[in-house]
Amino acid sequence: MYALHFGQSPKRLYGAYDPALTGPGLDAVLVCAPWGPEWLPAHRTLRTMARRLADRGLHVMRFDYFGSGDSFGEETDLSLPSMLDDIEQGVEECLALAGADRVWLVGLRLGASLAALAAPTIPEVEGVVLWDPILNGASYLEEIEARANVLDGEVWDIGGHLLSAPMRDELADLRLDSARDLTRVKLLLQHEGDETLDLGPIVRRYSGPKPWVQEGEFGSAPLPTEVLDHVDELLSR
Amino acid sequence: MTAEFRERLVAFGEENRLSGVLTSPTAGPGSGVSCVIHNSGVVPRAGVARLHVRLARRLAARGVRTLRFDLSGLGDSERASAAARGAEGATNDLLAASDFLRDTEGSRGECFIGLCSAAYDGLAVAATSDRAVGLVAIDLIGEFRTTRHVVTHYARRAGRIESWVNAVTAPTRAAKALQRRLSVPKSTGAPDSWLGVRPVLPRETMRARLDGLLSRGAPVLFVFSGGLEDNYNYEGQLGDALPELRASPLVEDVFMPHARHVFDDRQHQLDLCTTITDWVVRRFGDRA
Repeated sequence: MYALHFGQSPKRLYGAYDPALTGPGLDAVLVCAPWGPEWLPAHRTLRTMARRLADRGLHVMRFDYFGSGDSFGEETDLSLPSMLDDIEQGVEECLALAGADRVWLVGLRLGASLAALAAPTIPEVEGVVLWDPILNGASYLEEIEARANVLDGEVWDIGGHLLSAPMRDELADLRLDSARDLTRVKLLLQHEGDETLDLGPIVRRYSGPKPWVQEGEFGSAPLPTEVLDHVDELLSR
Repeated sequence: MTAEFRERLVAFGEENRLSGVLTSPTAGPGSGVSCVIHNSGVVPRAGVARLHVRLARRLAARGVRTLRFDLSGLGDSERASAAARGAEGATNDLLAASDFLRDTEGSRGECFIGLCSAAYDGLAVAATSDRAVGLVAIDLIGEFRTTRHVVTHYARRAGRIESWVNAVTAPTRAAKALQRRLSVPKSTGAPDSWLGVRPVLPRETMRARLDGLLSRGAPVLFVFSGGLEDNYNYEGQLGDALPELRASPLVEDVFMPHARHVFDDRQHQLDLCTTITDWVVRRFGDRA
């Protein structure tokens, strides 16, 4: 794995690139992580997925959105348009590193929703894997509001992660279920029992752990190996 | 606005397996004391809600360089090829971080900053390595129990209705807890979650390790949250548990009763960052 900064200063982003360990490495994969409190527990799963895919001959890059993880910026800099820009930057960087022409987007939770929205605007995207995307931003906000501590009447503090009022407005308008173009979505992984999109046979239900849900205060979530197998199967063809 | 820090991604240790972020003041320094921050439990080096990112950048804004990194097998660091894992592996990795800072940055010594398991690791290294010039131990889990701690603990419990419910269900819960302790942990595909586990530090071990550090004139800041009531629950408990520390000008302790163990609340995080940054600058500012 090679760590790198990419993007124009001051909007420098952190990337972690796993080059293909076998085969010609013709395809590249950009991993779009979840937001805020879901990022940390999911880290190990996404790292493991990246390494498994690299073992199977894919060039894989993970990255942190501006204002999150190891990237520059503050959380109050985050916005959905900015995160979509970051995905575009990530695609550019990933393709350059891999020397590839086509890229897959694999997104988890908000990262999945954003990957689905970004894909139609990026010609190099071969396909998209959505892993438990947030389908309805307003419902998601209702879900996390219960845990929010409101600061200055504006910013929500959710487990130490700040969510600005403008980003809340953007999330409230997020509707993946009414997205116009989901034609590049090739696999939708959805936890059993959760609401999903009607995308026919590409929907796979799974049971077991949700990798973005933390186990205890210091634990990362368990690895959902069944889901990783599905991703391997699709992308290693 | 000009950034008050600069950051560089670094790889070091055996076969450059360890991955870290070096956060430095914009205008230097070329030498002096550096801070080192690593994983609490299995949390990636950014820390819970980016606590470590924020702390490193604040320290840089005050003139202090910080390396925050992932231990072998955690975050973005590769697993070590050697067998050493857990606490022993952490010690090796912290020493590698120290060597890296000396060799590439001209660092003249390191102050280890760690929360929970990282406090355990920091103390273990600081006790024996001459490179360690200071320690910030946040919620170190050890034998701090005193009579007042026990009285406080039960007085608080008696005031909570759930305690009375628990008293009724205790035998069942005790049996389940014992069963959990004796059973082999369920495999979840990788053993990473066990890399962050450390034992409770016995008082005599704590005493011996602190002695190793303090005898070299290295200062220690203890910070305790109110989130681990079983470990620490009143202001000044450290001095009652280890009375010899009371007179030492090298030891300071801060109790933050309203903060949770992982400081996953923005205000407590900021308070913690301020407390640590002020202490580091006060103790090492002239050398940083």
